Amino acid sequence: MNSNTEISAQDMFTETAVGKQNRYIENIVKIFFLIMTCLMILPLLFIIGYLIYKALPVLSFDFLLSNPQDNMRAGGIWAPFLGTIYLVVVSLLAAAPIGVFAAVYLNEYARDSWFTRIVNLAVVNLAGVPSIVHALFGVGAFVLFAGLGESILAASLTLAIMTLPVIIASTTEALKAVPMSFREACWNLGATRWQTIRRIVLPNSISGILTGVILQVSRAAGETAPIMFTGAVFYKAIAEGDLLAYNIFDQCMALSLHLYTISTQVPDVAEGIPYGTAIVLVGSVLLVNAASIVLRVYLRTRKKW
Amino acid sequence: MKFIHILFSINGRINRAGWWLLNLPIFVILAISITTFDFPATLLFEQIQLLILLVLVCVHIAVSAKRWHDKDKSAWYLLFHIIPLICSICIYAAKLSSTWWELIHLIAVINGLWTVVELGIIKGTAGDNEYGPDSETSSESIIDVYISICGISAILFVFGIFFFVFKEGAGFLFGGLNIWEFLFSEEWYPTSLNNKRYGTLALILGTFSVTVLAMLLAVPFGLGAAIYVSEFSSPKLKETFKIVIEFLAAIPSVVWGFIGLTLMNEMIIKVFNAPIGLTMLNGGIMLALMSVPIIVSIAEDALKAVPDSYREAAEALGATRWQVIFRVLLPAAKNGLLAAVLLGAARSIGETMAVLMATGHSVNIPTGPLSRIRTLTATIAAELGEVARGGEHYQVLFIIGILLFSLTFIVNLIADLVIKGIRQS
Repeated sequence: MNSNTEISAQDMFTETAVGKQNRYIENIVKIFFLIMTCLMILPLLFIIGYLIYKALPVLSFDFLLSNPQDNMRAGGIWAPFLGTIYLVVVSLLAAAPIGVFAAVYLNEYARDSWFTRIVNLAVVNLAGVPSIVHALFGVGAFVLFAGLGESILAASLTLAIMTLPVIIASTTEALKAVPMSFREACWNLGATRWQTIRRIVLPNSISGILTGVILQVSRAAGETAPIMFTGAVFYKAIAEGDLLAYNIFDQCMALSLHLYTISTQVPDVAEGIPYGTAIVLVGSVLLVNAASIVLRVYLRTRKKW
Repeated sequence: MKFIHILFSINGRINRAGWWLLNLPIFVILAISITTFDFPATLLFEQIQLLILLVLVCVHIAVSAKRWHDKDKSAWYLLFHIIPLICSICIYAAKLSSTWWELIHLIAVINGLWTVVELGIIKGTAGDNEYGPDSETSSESIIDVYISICGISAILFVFGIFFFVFKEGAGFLFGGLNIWEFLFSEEWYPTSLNNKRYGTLALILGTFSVTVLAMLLAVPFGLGAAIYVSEFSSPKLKETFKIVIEFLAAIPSVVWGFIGLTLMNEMIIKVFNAPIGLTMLNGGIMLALMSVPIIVSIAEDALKAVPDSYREAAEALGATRWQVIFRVLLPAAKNGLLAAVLLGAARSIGETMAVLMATGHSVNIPTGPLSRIRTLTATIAAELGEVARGGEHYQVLFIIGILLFSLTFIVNLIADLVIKGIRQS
């Protein structure tokens, strides 16, 4: 009896044929899924590597700081680059306050009711509206109805509405991460709702809100369709090196539209220039994204609760 | 009630924040109106505008009076800046100009600056005074209203998008467009001289075929990656994968289009020995790469939401990981996975630049992965810049916009309901 149990215990810890088979299967499954994951990641590295390789001959500070020349067949990308900065900054100024306050409303003010659910549904759907439909909306509402004409302002407002869900989503996350006990402690001291938000909730979630704002910047910088008909033009000459060269009631060039133009509309563009434009666009967008990720990781390490 | 009191009553006190919150929009509106308005107002529209301006001035006066009270001064101090301001506006409206009028203008401007400093920057008296209790929290109902407006803005924008796109296309949608032909004819000849035809069947099929192809490519890889990230990878590896996926999601669509135009074009020509690589396959691969991040992140959330006790129970029964995944996890998370696929598909349907540049851009009924097609989105993007504003063709493009909006709206709605369904159960 006694010896029998000893043997079976020993059996349990030596690998049976079935156990061995299972282990193999498990390893195969694991490698299979790993390969699938890698097949998604490799294109990213490959594409960026390819763009950099092709763009190397033209990349220089001169490329960034000089205007397109010779009907956009040569020269640099200063005018579109500055235009993109204008569009991003103006759209950020419009989207950031509305987005943050909307998230505050959803998280701090709204009760759990059908109305709140509809607001949430609207946010989700706003994020799902195709970018070209945003462009049509921009044409109908800002360019024609509001009388802004095709201008940086109209294009930026279109971008702002399009990127609003990005800010709302990440701000909501950030606000949710502030423990309820913080608010309760503050209310118990007699503070009003807004005082609690202002002194406790927002300071404790400011960095999370910033990540959302940074993501909005990266999203707005890359969009093409919404600005095509609302304010960005194929070509516009501006003074080189002048940061205030555009007027917000005027049209501008944009990096994303410039890439589209020189790669499809203009024949005989010097080899390398479209690749250079693409890598500047991808580079700036990924850099901004990386900043947001670094901020997020840094925050997690110094979180106090 | 409290808010109306703040807007129109001259009793009580208000703090600096409240003064700015109400006056900044008023100043902006007044400044825009005064530069664009011409007296006398004859049209009904202009008269309504004038009425709104008068109401805004009343609000400005009421709020400023409360601000003077906050500084323990009588509301009569208002006259200091109201009188020169009215003089100045009258002079401007009557277009008088001489040295004296200029002087009055100058006085009004200096007065205005002084008022802004006095009312907008210098603090009121602390504690209670003759006119009411401490004003520390007096601006809160204004802030509440502003926050609520921002909160419901998303609804306003969604309706606004539908309304304005509909408004531009409505004329032709209800007057002249043959809906049957619009949806089921493949003849898209909007610029034909004597026989314009607006059949979008080829475009609709183009959108669907490229979306289906993209999903066929993206769903297995997306779900596989989600399973790996959620079930197999170590926390550190998981973090890395998530960052890479975020980067993949951040690449602008025009860059994907450019890749399709250059790299993928050459690859397809070489691999399939095709005459041109700008095909449905090209667009499908680009769309797959673009929608994979969405599928991975939502599918991973869905897998994470499956309770650990399910996995433990299955493993305790001796199931292998493969069995756990296929017999337990996937069935348990199937709603979330469905939502992931739907949202990925919605993204593909709505994508514009990548398909515009990579699919070859010719109106064809798609016959296979190597046929050149054109999608709904690409048609709008390519043709809106070239049509006469308000014409039939222009309106048809907006009607296509309505079609796209409704399509993605429905898909998103279903995905949302599916996700909500999980949370409730």
